[in-house]
Amino acid sequence: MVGGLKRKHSDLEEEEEDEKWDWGPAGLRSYQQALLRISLDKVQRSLGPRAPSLRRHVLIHNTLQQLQAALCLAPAPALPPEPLFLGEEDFSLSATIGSILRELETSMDETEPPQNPVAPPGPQNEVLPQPDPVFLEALSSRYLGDSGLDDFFLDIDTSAVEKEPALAPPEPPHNLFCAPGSWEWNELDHIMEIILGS
Amino acid sequence: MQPLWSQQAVPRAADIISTVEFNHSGDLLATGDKGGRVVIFQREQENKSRPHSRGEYNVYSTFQSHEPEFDYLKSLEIEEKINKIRWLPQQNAAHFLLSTNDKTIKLWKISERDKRAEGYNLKDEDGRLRDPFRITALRVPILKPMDLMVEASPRRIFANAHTYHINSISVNSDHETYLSADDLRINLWHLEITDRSFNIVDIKPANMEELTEVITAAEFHPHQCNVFVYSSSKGTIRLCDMRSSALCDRHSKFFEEPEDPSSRSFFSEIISSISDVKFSHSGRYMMTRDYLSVKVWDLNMESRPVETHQVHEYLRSKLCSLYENDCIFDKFECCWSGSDSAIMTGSYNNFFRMFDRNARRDVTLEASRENSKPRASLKPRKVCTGGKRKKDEISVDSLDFNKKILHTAWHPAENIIAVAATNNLYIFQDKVN
Repeated sequence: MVGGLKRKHSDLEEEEEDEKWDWGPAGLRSYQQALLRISLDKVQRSLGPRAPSLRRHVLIHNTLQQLQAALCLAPAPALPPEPLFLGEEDFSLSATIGSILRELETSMDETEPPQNPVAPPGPQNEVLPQPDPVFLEALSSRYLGDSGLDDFFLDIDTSAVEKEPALAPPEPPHNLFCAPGSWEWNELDHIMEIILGS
Repeated sequence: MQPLWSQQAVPRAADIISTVEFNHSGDLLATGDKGGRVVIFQREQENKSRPHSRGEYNVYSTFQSHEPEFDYLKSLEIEEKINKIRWLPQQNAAHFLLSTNDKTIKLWKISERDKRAEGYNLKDEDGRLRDPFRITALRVPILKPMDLMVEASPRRIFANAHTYHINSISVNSDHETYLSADDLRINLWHLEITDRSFNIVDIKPANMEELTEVITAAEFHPHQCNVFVYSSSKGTIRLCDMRSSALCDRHSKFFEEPEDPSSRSFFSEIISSISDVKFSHSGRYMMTRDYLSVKVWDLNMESRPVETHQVHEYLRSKLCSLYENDCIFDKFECCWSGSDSAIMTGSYNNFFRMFDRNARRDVTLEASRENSKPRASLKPRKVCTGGKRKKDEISVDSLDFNKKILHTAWHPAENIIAVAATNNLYIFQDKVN
């Protein structure tokens, strides 16, 4: 886990209560992103030897969707660009969230074969601000090939990389495809996110 | 008259108690725990020579109901924790109860043996077989009294019917069938038949990505054997009539309170998730428990509850913290008093709340060994939400969120309550005669 990502809940709460929190657009977005990180962290932590609680998973999933919608709808602030989740990053988050429940189903219900995630197209023509490299690195390391989560998130790897068929070569050379979970994989994905984002 | 609650000492349980249930007469109290064990307490008969022990509950039977299992196909552990116990109405000298973990429901018979046979022909008193050629005379074995022995034996095992985790079981008023509910499906069983069950509710979407709502609790109507309700994670309750169709996917009644737009937050849906639903004894009302409140519904009015009782409204400003530490997902149960005049539910810091519906009064009490001596009355507690803390009040920030009371039960006829606080069982009785 990347250090410094997770805000201590006491910080969040203190700021809420004492109203030191800046409830302007930038502050609200920070709060929403903090909630987003907490939620994604919960999904990761719910994996274990026991089947996860479906109720808890669905509630977190619905909260994630609300947060995602809120972050997309919020107008970009005029001041220093805050990390936003639009375009490609938003798209990969959608695919991630959608895949969570699909993977959960295949792990719990033997009669349903795992479906390949169909990549919904993201908005291609918007101006995309610089993504938060720290967050994206965390996102990619957690969901794209982290060795402890191979069984759960293998499908997400493929969808995130293959979403731009025009960019990816049909027969990629061997040296570009490293093993999921390796640092090269994470680095490659990180680079791709930045390229697509700019 | 408001009851004065006095505490009975109960020895600490081996594991975290996960369910508590009185039987229909109230003479037996069953608890299930995280280790798959069931412990049954029996109420002592009134004894003139020991007036103080009137109505004390003592251990009657202990048995291992469920064992941990491993699903090799999916590489998943199946917990042995007992999620629910429900008693069958008593029909003869033996007692029957249903106990369930996440996957399997079992019917247990609890019976007493206070006689044994002596004077067998083919074996001697030690149990060793006698040489049949040595037997020269036959005798009839006779029954002799022995120390009371309580035996529990599994009579039926209802397995392999639930893909998801069972959260509820409910015995029908016809005394022949019962339902079991998991996150997405509800099945109807006949108590005599274990290899077959009927699916009566299925809310699983064709595409799991579209799943936004799960079943959280289900219960049969106490008198109408064709009616049951189930609650959801979105704060809705559906009442179904099994006469209308075999698959009750379309409800007969739909209960939902419109959301208050002024209190909307990212946590609105999570806190609206219903953790328990219980019919009143009369069958005219039902009660639902969500994260912050208890609501009483009139079955004839679907648009909103007739009563709403705040359990711990002071937690509303702490939802972000409670989301982070997962407490927001705690599933509290609720129960009615025998006459339906009062309702009870648990909270944090080993507090539990009682609401007197007629007198419109509520009280917060604490289940704690330190604060209460046996037979002393419970003192009401108060949580200070802000400003100056009065003496004997406890501030919100001092609450211990690891001490949660999720399971409570009320005697069907008298003012006796059972409260489970982690691995401690508290039994409180009304001192007012």
